[in-house]
Amino acid sequence: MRLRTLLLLAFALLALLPLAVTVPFAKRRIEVTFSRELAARADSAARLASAELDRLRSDVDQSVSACAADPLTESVALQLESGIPPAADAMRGVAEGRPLTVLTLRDASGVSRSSAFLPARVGDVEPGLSAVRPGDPPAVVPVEVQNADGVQLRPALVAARPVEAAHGAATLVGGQVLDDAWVSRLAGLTGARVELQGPGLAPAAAGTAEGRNVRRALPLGPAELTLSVGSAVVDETRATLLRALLTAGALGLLLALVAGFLFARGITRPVEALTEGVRSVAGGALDTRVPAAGSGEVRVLVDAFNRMTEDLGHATRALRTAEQAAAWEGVARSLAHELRNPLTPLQMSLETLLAARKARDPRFEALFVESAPAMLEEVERLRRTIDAFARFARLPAAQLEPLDLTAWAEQSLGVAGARPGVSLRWEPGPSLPVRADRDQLAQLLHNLVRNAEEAMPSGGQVTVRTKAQGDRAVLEVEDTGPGIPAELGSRVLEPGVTTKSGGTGLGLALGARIAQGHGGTLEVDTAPGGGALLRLRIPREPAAG
Amino acid sequence: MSPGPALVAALLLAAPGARAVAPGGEQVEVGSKALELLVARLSDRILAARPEGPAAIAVQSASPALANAAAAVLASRLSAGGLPSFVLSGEEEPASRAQAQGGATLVQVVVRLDADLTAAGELRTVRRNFWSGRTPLNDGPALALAASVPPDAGARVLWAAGQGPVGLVLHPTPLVHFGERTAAVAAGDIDGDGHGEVAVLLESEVQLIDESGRVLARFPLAGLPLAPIPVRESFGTICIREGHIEVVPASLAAGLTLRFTGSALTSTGVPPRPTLGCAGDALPARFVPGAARIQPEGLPASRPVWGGDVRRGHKALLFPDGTATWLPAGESEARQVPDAGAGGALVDWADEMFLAASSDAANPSEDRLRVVGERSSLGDLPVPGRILQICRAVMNGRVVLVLGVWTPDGGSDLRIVWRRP
Amino acid sequence: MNARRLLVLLAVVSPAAATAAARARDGGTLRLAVLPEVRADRWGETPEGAVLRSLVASPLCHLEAGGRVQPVLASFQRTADGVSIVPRASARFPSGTPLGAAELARAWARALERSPAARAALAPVRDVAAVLEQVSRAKGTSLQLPLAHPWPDLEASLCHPALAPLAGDGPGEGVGAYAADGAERGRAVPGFPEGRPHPDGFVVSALSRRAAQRALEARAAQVLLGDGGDPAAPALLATYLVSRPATRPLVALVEPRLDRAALVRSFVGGPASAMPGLLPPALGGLDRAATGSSPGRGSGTALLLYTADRPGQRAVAQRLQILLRDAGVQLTLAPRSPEALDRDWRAGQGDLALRSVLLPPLPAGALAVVLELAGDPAGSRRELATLGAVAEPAERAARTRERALQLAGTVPVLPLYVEGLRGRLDPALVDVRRDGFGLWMLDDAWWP
Repeated sequence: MRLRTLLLLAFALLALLPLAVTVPFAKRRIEVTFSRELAARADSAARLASAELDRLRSDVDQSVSACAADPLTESVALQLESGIPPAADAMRGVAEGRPLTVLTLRDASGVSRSSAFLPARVGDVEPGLSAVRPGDPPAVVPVEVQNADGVQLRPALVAARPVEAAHGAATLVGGQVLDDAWVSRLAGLTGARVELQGPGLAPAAAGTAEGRNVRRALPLGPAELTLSVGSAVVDETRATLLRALLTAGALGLLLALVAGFLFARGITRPVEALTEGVRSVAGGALDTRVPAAGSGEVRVLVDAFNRMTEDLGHATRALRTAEQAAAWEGVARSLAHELRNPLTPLQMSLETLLAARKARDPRFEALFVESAPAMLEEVERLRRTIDAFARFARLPAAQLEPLDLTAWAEQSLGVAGARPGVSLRWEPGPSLPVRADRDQLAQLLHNLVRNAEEAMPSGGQVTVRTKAQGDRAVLEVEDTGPGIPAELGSRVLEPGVTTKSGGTGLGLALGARIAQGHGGTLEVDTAPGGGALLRLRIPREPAAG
Repeated sequence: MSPGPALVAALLLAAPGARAVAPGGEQVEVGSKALELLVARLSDRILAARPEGPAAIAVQSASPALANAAAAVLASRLSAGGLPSFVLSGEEEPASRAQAQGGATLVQVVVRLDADLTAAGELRTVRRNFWSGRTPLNDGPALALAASVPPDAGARVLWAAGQGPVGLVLHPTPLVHFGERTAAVAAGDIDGDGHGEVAVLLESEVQLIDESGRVLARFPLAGLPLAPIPVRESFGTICIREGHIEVVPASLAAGLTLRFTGSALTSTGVPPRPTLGCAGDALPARFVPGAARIQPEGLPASRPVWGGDVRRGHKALLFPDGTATWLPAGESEARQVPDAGAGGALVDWADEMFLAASSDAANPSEDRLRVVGERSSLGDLPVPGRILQICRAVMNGRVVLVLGVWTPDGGSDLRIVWRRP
Repeated sequence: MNARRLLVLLAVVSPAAATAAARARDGGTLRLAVLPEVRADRWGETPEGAVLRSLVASPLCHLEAGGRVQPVLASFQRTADGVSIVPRASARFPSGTPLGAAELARAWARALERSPAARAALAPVRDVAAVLEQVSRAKGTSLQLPLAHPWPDLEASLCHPALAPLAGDGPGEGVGAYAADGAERGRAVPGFPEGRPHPDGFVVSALSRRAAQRALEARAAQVLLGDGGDPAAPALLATYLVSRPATRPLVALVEPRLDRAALVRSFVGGPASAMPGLLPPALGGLDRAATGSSPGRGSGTALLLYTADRPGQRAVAQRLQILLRDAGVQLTLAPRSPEALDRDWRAGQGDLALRSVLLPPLPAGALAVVLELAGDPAGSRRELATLGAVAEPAERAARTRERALQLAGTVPVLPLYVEGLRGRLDPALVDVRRDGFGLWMLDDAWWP
């Protein structure tokens, strides 16, 4: 992975780590706080409801006492006492203007005699109200509430007071029905969902509590008042907080990434430049210099690189020069050796002849005739060698042009004939675009094939193949001959080194030189069958397109 | 007017130890078991309702003596029964007066004697609550009181007596009761048998009645052509001449002459014209269309009247404003008689001419017959009902007045008033 | 004792207060104070409304307390076939149109659609709808009513306020002693067949109960309608709980729990009394013996229709709601205007209905109304035919009472209570009499 990416990741991780630690912690703290808050709200709603009920109790107490002392109540009660039946709704006048929704006057036996809100029950004992005794504190009892749709039982907070003027013959019972409106008000007051239910009672509910509910219950006589506080708001707040936290975290992360990117770039740019420089040097551009940038270790590195590259350039040039000198030394040595070889028999032959002439040996004629072709052959051999060396020396610079090595090899092989007894086998590889000099390459191939043929005097197989190896195009010529003797190894590529008798030892050297001129190499190897394997390796052009 | 001591009925109270005192200060006693029974029934009902005391008692009656007696008896019975009571003074606005005099309950009763001795009224709460101000509380219905007992002689005496002036007596029972209202009444001897008959114009028929109240003949008026503008009240004129009746109903287009054949009345002859008075010197008149008024002709500057009579040169006219003028014979200056009602007649008793007129200012359920003479006055006689017609008749040899009295039930009575010698 | 004497002494015998005049004087304005729930209704559904209405829309005739029929707008003649009704020539609508047979027939055709009392009164007429239709198109002078069976009480029944001839629904559409001059006023009509009324006009004010009582006592109003009443007057406004054959079980739940006396005492108020039998006590209605069954229980729901502007009905409806709740049935109350009640009930709406109707003061006519409410026309005609065949009035009345007793268990009509006219008069008002229906005849009213 690239250094920059690594650095970036490191930055991101660095930014993430604290978040990963703080966010869950903060989240838990928030949860705890909010649930405590929820509970506190529920408790305060319950307290409010309690206080409201107490207030209602005292209101009812006061109102009923006031009504019991009202002159209209007294007159109705007196009517009752004196046996004149009052109007069933006579108490309506008393209830006017008072915050009461239950008001009934009952006689000593508990029978309702006049009622402001349920005149239809006059003559009966009103259930629920009969349980309330004068002097008791206000209590919640079920009362009947009548409207056009029917009669329902609802809880009501009622109190009873005796009507003084009637000397015990009449009792006033009054109070407030805890109806939908009251429950609504309570819901509005406490902000909670309020439900008032009981067995047989018409349920009343108001308010909403969304989300998880926290409940508190207040028993009210036969009914139960339930207050639910929903966590919806809390949940929302919490979600908002968390969202904010996460957003902050993400923003932080983003910032860290950006900063990291910039910082990483700052750090890695010289490194990359360095890497690029190394790469180009490895590609052969020995005069690559990385601009000095940065400070500290990077700077040291850059300076060292530059210095080392410079040294490398010098050394490479020196080496090349030495190689060239060595190559010429080799060639000169080889030439001297080669030239000396035919010269010796020639000299001997000529000396013999001279001696024979001088001695007017009769065998001079036969001898001359016998030695002359041999001397001519030697001269021919000399000439050949000198041609080869001349050719070797005359090797021009390669004029590279793009060609497909495989296609060209196939073509060339088709042109070149084979010696009888030698089978030529062509193993084409993929298309290998290279930059090569056709003529030199032809020469090389020719040499290689001839060498292979000559290595198998009794016949065999020559295999020519092309293949790709990394960024190199490879041309291999393999024979089934005896191979290269191990002690020679790659020395066969030196000029003057030959295994053939009468060889100049220049063919492979030439081939090596051609390969070098193409920017490649010629290698000597042993084939799996024991024969010689000669391998040309030249750079491959990247595929077009 | 105060009741004469000879006729004042003293009041016997059922409760021991309590005596009613006549206004004159005397204590007299008269027994009327019927009245006691009536009052007992009333008081039982009242006490059963257990009203709040004190109770104010207001009894009204055409006979003040009967009213007083009843009130006193009732008060004592109620008090004995545990409800303190007092008799209310004053007649107007009994509720306010009861409150003013400190009552909490009002007993308001009307006592009358027809076929039965009846009392009807109501019991109401009038207690004024300090907080509600002067407005009496009207809570609950008033309790209705009604009782009826067969009358006895004592009750009749209370009813009939002690009311009128010296000299005038109202026969306790009506001569006859009609289901309709009388429009005109006339008396005379149509058949010459020495007994007087009474001819009565009712809304739907004409009846001829004898001295004992028996109907001799009827003549129905249905189907006869109506007057162009109808008259709401029963009104008309009627006179008995020899053998026939001349009757002009204001609701018909024309009058009728009815001949009495001994058993029936048949219409004959020329339709008569309305007259004031039936004697020879009767004043011709004509009806005011659409109203119960008659306009005498021949009198200078005269307004329409609703009643009148002419006899022996005396002319009496009763005007709708409640006044009457009496022009005695031979005099030029008319005498103004105030407080005259709708019925009037001139009657001669003991050589003195009297004008008998109903009262304009009487209670609709009880009227007073006022008889004034040229020189003296016979005072007022209370009569139950409203007197709309008065005519002079001779019955059983005596000169009497026949009254056409409208009763509250929509019918009418004929009653007889004679002068005590 | 002394105190008592003193008290008695205080009773001064004084002459009767002078408050009257001998004969009516024309002029003045008759002032009526009515409570808010009193409306001038044209179908005689309430006594107060009928009295108010009768000022501008007189009934055809007056049925007097003694039973005599006094013709007002038309006269009656018995024919071989039935009855012939001849409108009086001087009876005119305020627009000037004379009251003819066609107008009468049209008015009665409308009455048949709206009023059970009208339907009951005209029930003995053969093909009444066709007869009225025919007469309303013709231009005859008399309305001939052929009877399907003998019916001696027909003329008396025709005096019912619901059969008052009315050209339309507005206040100025009847023939009355007064002509309506706006919603609350009237002017005396000089040409009225009975003669013009004594006051020049009348004015009606709607007041609260207290204000109306005060007005009456202060003489600011002479007639108060809606409060008070005379228990001795005939009470003929009968209220029944009407059901359908399918909903009779509901009535069976209510009946054992119902205490009519307490109902009247506590909830109706005014001059009302319990009515245990199909006929009111004023007509001698008898009560059948209680069945003695224990109150059962039911379930489900039911709908009760009642008249919106009768406070007594509303209180009774609420009481029924409570009673049925105790029996396990959920009763819904639906107030309706009287026209809507009649229309909706006949259309099949509602399971129960509280219906008040002004009964005629004759037992046979009253039974006809009850049978009309029961909704069985064929059965009704059979009953009436049987009763109408009895010629003698006392016997007919007795037979009717017996029949009412027998029918009480079978018709879907439960009698509840009966009310009289609620109202009080200024004592100074003269010549106001009650007719047979218990209504005041205000036409003759005057004051000194």
